Amino acid sequence: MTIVTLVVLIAGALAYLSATVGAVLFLSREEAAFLNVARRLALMGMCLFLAVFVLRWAAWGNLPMTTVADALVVFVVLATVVMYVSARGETRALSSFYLPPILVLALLCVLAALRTFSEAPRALRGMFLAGHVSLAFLAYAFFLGASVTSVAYMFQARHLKNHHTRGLFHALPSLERLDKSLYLLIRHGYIVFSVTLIVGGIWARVDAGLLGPQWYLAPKILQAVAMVAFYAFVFHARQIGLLRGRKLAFAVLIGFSVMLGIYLVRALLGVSYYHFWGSASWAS
Amino acid sequence: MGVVAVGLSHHTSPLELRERLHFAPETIPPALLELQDRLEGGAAVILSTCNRVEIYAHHDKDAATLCDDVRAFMAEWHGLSEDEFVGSLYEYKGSEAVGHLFRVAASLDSLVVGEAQILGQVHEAFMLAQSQQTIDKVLSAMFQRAFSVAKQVRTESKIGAGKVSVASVAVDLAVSIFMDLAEKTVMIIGSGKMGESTLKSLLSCGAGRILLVNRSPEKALSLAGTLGGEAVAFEALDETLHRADIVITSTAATAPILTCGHFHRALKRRGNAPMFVIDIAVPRNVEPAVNSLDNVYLYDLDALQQAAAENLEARRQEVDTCLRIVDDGVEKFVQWMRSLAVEPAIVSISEELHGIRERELEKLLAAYPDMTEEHREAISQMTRRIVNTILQRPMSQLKREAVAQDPSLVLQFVRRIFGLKET
Repeated sequence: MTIVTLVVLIAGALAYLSATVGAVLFLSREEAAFLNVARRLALMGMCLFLAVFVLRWAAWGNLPMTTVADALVVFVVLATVVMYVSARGETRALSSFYLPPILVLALLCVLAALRTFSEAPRALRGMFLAGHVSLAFLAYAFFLGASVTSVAYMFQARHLKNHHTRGLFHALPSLERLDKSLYLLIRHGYIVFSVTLIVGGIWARVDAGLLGPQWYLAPKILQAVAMVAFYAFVFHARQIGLLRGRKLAFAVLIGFSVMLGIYLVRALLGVSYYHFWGSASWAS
Repeated sequence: MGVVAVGLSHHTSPLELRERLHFAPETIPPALLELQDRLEGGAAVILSTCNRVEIYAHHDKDAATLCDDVRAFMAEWHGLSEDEFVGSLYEYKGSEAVGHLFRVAASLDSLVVGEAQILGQVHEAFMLAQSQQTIDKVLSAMFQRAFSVAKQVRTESKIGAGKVSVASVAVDLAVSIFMDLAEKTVMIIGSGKMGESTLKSLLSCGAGRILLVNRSPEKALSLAGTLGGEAVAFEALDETLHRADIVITSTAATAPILTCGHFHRALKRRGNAPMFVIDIAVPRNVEPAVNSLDNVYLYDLDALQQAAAENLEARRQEVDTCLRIVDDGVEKFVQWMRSLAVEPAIVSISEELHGIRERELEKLLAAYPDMTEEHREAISQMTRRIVNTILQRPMSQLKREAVAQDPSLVLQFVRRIFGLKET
């Protein structure tokens, strides 16, 4: 059963790898056929990751969201959903910007599935877990989408400024369309992440013994508060026209990169007041 | 193959000569009929645009004689001597004529490679010839194939991608910046011709509102009346600039009339929403440093012309791909022409065998007079099927042989086997 799960996971990652190759070919050759194939392969990859989620759920008996690998499975699926929702029709060329980071997540997921050894704590289960974690990853998926859109915006804006309007420039959506997508992704991410924090806070109060008395001082919580404050600022600054266009795109990209960097450093150094994961390898 | 293309174009002749040999649209029908008379039958199409004057003709007579006739007709019709234009004339015969038409229709021979207008002009020339009944099976098939090759060239290559005129490049850029031009306001400052043409291009693409700024209020009002916009006093430019999403400047001012300060204030008032500035004036009307401002995209004449030139160059790089498609099309058409040569022989053989069938059938039916009508019909159908089935394979092979080798040799051989007379 666990071997089957691992095989499905690797197959999913390979589908994402092929999709990314298609996306890169589209970026370099600007042929729509590559993008179509890439999007179909990404859909296939997402279905395989969903299958992994179901298999893990069946094997563990609880919603699989607490190990690094499980969490990344959810993240990859949600990021792909956000890609399909925000990069369609006129903006479908944006998929080629989404796929490389999604591939990185998928590969990290495979590595995590192979390397983690202990099972997730049984205490982490129930509706609070499902609600809090899935909302958090949905918000991360929106933030990832916003960052990807920012890259596309800066690419377009730079080409327009420098009067280089050949090649991929024509395949990407207009600046205004990208700006609108960026705004919507920030807004959705900000709202969902705010709800995530509220659900998390309620969970910590209800299940007080689970996280300890001073859970709100945990680096993870402080980082989440910093994130919500950052996106609140960016969202409102965009609404009043203070941050718009290239500056907004730059701020979003820098903000997301800093948050990701802090998260990775924290994870690598094991700086955490509490931790949720550490599970048995799926293949063992 | 008695198919020829005789003519001259911007590649071979100056405008003055093309003007003298030009066929005005209303003169083409009588010219076609006159040409057909001169050729004593045959078929002809006249293609006359500002960049080319060409006559495509098909006749049983040999290609060289046909070219002479067409050349003489051109001279006579326009009241010129052949010496006046023969040096600029090109004459394509057989497959070369087919290839030339395919290249012309696919816009590979145009002044602006990849422009779409020529296909419409070729189509019009064809329709005109069709209406005058100066077209035959061969020329009709040749033009139809030219249209399908041209379509294939446009879909399988990027020959039509990217705009190549200043006005269309400006529209293209506006579409790259804004989602929906219908919701955008275009401000035009000054009344230069190129500025107006750019404004008209933007309007034809659905641009919503127009603000017309001119030093002369009367001129602004008159333009506003013509184009349906709102006239704005030049003095109110600073207060109005923030309303414009697209600004076109084409005044005769010798110093910049719009500076970074103007755009700073405008951006602040419009919440940093992007602005596209098209400065077509020489000397420039907009301070170049404006392009360094966030959310302002400034294109002067040089930048627009550079974008147009880059697009044209990109089209030129596609020409090899397009020529391969054209060559393939020519090859297929020539094969069809060759197979056409054996068609009369195929018809003769078919008639011969069906004649035998009918004679034998008559004998059989005479020998059995009591046979019902139903049985007679069934036997007739069966014998027809037998003859057709026997003919099917050798006739297909005959067409293939005519394509693979000299059709006249194949025809000679077939005539000898079946004892057919030469038609």
